[in-house]
Amino acid sequence: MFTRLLLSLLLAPLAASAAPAAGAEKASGFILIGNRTGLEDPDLAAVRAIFRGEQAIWPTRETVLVVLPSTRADFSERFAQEILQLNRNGMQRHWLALVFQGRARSPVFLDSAAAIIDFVRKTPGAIAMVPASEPGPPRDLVLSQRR
Amino acid sequence: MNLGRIFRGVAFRIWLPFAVALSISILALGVYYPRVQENLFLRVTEQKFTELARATALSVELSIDRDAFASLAKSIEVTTKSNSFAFVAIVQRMSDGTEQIFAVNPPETPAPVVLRRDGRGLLYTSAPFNTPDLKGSVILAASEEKLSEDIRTLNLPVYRTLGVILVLSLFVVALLARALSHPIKTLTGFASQLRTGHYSVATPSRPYATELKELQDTLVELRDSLSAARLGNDEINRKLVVARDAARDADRAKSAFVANMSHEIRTPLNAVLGLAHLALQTDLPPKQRDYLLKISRSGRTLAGIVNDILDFSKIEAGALELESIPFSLGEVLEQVDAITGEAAREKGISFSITGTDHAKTLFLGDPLRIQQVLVNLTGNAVKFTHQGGVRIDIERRESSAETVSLAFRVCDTGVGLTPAQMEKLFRSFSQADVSTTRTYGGTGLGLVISRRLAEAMGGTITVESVAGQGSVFTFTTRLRLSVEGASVRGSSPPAEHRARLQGRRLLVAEDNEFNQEIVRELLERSGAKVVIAGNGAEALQTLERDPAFDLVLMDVQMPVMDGFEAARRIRQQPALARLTVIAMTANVTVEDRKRCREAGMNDFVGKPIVPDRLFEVAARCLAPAPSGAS
Repeated sequence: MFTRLLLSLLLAPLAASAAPAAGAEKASGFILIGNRTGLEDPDLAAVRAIFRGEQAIWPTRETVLVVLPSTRADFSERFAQEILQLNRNGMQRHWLALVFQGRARSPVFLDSAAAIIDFVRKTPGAIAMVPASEPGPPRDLVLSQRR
Repeated sequence: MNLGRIFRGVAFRIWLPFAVALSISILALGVYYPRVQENLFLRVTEQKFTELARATALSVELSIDRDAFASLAKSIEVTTKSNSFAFVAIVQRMSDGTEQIFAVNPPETPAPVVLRRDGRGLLYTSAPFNTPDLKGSVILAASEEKLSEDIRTLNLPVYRTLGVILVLSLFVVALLARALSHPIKTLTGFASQLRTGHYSVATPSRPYATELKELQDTLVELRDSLSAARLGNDEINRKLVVARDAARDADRAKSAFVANMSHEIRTPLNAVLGLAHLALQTDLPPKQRDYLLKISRSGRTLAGIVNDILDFSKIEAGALELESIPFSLGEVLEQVDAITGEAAREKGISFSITGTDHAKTLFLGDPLRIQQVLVNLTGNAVKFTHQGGVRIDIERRESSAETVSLAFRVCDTGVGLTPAQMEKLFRSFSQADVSTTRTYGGTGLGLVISRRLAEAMGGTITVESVAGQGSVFTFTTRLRLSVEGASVRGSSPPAEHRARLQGRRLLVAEDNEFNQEIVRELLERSGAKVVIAGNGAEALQTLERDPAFDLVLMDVQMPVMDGFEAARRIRQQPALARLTVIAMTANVTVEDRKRCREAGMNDFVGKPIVPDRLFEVAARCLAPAPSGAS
């Protein structure tokens, strides 16, 4: 709890200063991809809120479907820490509570960036983040990209 | 509708025990079966919730271990949609052994309710889960209120079904009861018809029950027997009616015979008495006078016997009618004294009347009948008394504003009566003993007639007697007090009656020559001028020629034209409408009197003619003669 609070305090000024000047990809090594979400270069706070399950419907009226890296994906820990400011277990427990309470649609956990990109490409309303180091996803899926 | 009759009826008596038994059974079933259903439902629900909790716990494990959140979402969706669902929670077991709520659905569920696990109205089930990162249990609670609601919903068809079964059962039992009672009612109606004599009633349809069949067979046999008996009775009744009619005809013939004989006897008797009376008015040698006196006395005795027979016939036929006219008791007593008192004095015994306080009181009643009873009782007393005397004591027994009950005690010092003689004293044609008839004469009807007359006047006659010492006959009667001070018959002395006939012109219609002579002689001796007509037609012709008569004495039974027809024709002529017509007849029945009045006659004189009675009636009907009348 204390760790989460500390991370929030550290990242908040960073996010606040970065948000107006640059996109979310500038704060992380991830590319935000989505299929028919209607998003355009969201900032990190918005991205974090989405991946914390706080948004249910896209502006396109599509249902939000969060795609997360599974425990077998090598970037899952980094994703949890950088994007959600949680460790991997914390991310799982967060989503366990959300799904258990019926507050969010259950996320889809996939084992690799390629699987994630493929799933997003095929699933309208899906949103995910893949490491920028991975082979680039189709341009039409990219919502914000590292420059 | 007569509810009492229904409740006491066979159908209700049959239906009621079944209805009570069925109602109790179905009520017991209605209580027992839902409880069984409830227990079963609770067990099934608990099992189902336990399985749901296990599935949810497994989904939690899969979500943590294998990122299988979809199965968790599905499990939660299924769980929360379950009937009776209250909440589902993940309770994390901490490393220090305490428990902490990890997540709860619905999220607003209070933490104590989740953790305490003894919330009232909740049914808890739980299933553990165990992952390296998260250990604890899934708790699933059901709401007992919702469970009860579900149970009620579950039981509602049961109640409805039981209700329908009860109603149908009662209806079926009612039909059965009616099926049993209806033939009984039908047979009851059948029997009622028989009771009221309707033997032609059709046989009811045959009942199913053996006992009722036997009952019906018995009733049908009874009907047939009664019907046959009725045919026999009808024949007997028909014969009885014929016999009754014959008896009535015979009775009428007897009555007519008695009436005719009365007339036939009275007419010559009238002549005998009248002529004897006239002859006794003339100068006669002592021996002839004695003969005539004996003829006259015997004639009066014979007239009394005829009167007794006539009275008895009328009483037996129920044709006795009493008058209700104002009269003075004193005058009645005077007549009694004149008739039997004179006889007593002639016999050398005393005769007295005491208690004459009521002598001047005017009563309403039949003075002639009262006089007849008193004359009979005192006449008997005089007849059977040889020394001492006869006394009439009059006393008032009861009185009210309108009526007075009087008792006339006729006491004598005569031969008296033994108990055996008293026993048959009031029987018809019966005297104290045979020797009495030989010694004293009489028909034996006098006391019977007197008692019947007394009873008809609201009283009776009783007797107390000691043989050899005398008798007391008590005649009681109830009389109404007269409010009229009106005319009382016979208020004037006989001499005054005769004086009123002085110079009057009288027409006498009489077919019997002896009677013509007697009446003429009696009336002319009183100074009247008499014209004789032989029948009604002659009388009518005489009046048409010369209507200036003061009075007509009209015999009723005459040849050519009888007195009734003659009177009717007189009344039809305006010039004669106000002429006084007095009937003379030996027929003295009430019916005859009625016929006389209806024919327009003013009064009535019986035969044999009693001179004083004739003068009295004629004087009453005539207005006082104007002065100087010749």
